Amino acid sequence: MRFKRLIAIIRKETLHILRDRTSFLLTLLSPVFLLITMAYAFSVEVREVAVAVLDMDNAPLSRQYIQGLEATGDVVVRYRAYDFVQVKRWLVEGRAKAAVVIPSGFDACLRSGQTAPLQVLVDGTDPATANAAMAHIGGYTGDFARKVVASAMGRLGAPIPQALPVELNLRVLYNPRLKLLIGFLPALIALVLSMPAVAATSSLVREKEYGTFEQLIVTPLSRAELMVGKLIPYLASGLLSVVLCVMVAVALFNMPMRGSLPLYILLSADFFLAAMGIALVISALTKSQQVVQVGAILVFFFPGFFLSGFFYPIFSMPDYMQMEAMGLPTTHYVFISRGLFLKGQGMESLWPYAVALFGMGVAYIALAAVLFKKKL
Amino acid sequence: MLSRIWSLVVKELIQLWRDKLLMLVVILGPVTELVAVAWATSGDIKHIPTVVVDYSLTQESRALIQSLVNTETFDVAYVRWSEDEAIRLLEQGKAVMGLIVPPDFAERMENPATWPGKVQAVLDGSDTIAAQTAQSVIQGAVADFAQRRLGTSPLASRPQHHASGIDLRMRVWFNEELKQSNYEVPSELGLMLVAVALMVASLGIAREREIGTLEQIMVTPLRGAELIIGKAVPAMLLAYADFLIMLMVVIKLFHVPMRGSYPLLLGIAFFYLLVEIGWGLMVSAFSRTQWQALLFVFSLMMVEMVFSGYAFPVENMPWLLRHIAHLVPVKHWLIILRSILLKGAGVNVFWRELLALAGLGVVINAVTIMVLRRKLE
Repeated sequence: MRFKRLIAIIRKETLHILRDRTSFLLTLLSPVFLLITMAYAFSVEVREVAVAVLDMDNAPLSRQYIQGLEATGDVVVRYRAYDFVQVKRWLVEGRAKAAVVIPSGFDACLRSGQTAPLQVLVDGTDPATANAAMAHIGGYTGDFARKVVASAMGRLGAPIPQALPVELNLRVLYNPRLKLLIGFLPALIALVLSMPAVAATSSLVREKEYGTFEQLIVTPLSRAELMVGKLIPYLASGLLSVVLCVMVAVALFNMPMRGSLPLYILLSADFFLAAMGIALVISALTKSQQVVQVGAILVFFFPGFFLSGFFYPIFSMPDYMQMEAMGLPTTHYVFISRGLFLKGQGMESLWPYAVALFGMGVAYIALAAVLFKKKL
Repeated sequence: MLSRIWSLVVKELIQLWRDKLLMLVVILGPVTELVAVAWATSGDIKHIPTVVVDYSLTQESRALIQSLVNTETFDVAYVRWSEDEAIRLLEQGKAVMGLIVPPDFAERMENPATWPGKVQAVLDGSDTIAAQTAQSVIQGAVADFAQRRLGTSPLASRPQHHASGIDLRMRVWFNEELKQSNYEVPSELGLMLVAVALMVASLGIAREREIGTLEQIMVTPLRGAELIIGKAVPAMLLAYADFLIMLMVVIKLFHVPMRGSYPLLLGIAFFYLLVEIGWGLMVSAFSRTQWQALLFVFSLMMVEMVFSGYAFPVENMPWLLRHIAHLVPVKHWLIILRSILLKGAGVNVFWRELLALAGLGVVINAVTIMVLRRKLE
């Protein structure tokens, strides 16, 4: 590999990127732009669950129950219904996620020491929201009942109920208030950084489509020089994006950066090696940019979102899918990113991911080299 | 006019047919991916790797640990003898939860005078979704354990307080078993469909422009609107075929209930695809090269993903973003799709979303035609 020839092709590609201003801006700035939009979308933490109430009793205790439910702040009593039909409609339309129906006689039952019936209807479409609603309403109702019973028993002079024999003490590391954004932001960075790899894929195939690839082949450039030279500008732009993303995360979203920044940049380069290795394989296999686009979305976009451990933890996937997830560079990068931002990990515990990324990079580039050789 | 559009459609179809690889990838790619993604993510969050430090080593502590294992949410992957070692496993990311039972757990639990026996759970908050699940499951499991103890304890002859005045009956509608897959899989279908529609639509015009054949088309009698329709028809055929296959997969393979009307769903899907293809064509008209189109589409998809309401409810977003989200077609489409599938709802339920989609469709397609006309002339 000759340094001078390498410089020449790097220069050519850099010029190319710089001339096409829109693409340049898209490649360099879109990761930061996307990071800001997505992080901002995740930044508000009130998981407010809209609830409808139907109070058929309309007596002091039922009103007290509803007021208390509002005051918990876990759910928002947004709709007050006058009949069951309304309740049903709000639930079907998805405007209310749960409905509390207080039958007539609620107050009288409680006062006379009988068990008062109470119905809660939950929209199960989104199980996470449904579970949250059930937990909040159930917990509140239990407390309410205990208080009402306690005040009744207090009047009778009976003992107040005692605590439970076991107490759980919860401690959450790295993200004490379990804010979604804190766990998501490092993973979002991993996701948006697939942009430079996508751009690299497209640029290689464009040369093929234009026929300029043949011109490059007849120059004294070796294949390795050609590939490395074409990738380096994208790598540089990607690393610049990494720095921008970290700046945005720390300055705008108050993320801690507990690990070392140089290590983050180094491991990001490792990630780009693997991601661009895949980019090379895709571009070796295809002739048209249309196929590249579909391929890039199928390889980088969906797996990046769904299989990288971003939303859904890897260990809960079926075994085979776990293997597939571990074959994605993004998965490893999500671990690295979370480890450095939140846990302050160093190489001593991140090395498996670093080695995996490096291995993937080498393997994909070797595969791409073989594929290219066969084609030309 | 019809014959001009027809000849463009025929030309596009021939072009597609020639590029067999593209056809294959466009039709089979998203379906395969949907199956993989849905398979991977449709279960509840389970098998959270857990490290246990049991200083107590008593029947009681073992019973507590067993009750956690019984939830199936936790896998006791490691047993360690000191808290520090457990924390180290969390730091290394090998375990997500650590459960520490202090030496005096059983003693304190036995005697009401020394209640409560304390247990500590340490969670790795960096994997927030897993940690949130772990938190709610362990809270429930420990409370259950305590209640059961209370029930079997010889001291439990006191009046039962948990049967305390209110008989709460909870009923879940639409997804009675609260199956996660009934929510995930239709959403994933919706998002996959966006990808297909944008992909097939966005490259058409950019490609012609890049290769220079757009000039040739310009000198033909084709008008702006006709060009768009001609480009949209093949995109629609591909995307619709994909939709039908994916719908089959979702219903037959992942057993998502279909409670609404098929004609309604199929009809709305058609109009929804018109909107998305409009987006794709607009990107195509704006970008000078396919490279730009690809980068635009990639960014657009990430934005659509965020605002789709899939990962994070739109209602909880900051004010500005909540309103931007109304401009994202996939958000409305996912609501309609889930309403028809799970709730068996009709137009009277989601007419707002339908109206929003129609409005978006008109605006997007009108802008595309305008942009294209200006660029062409």
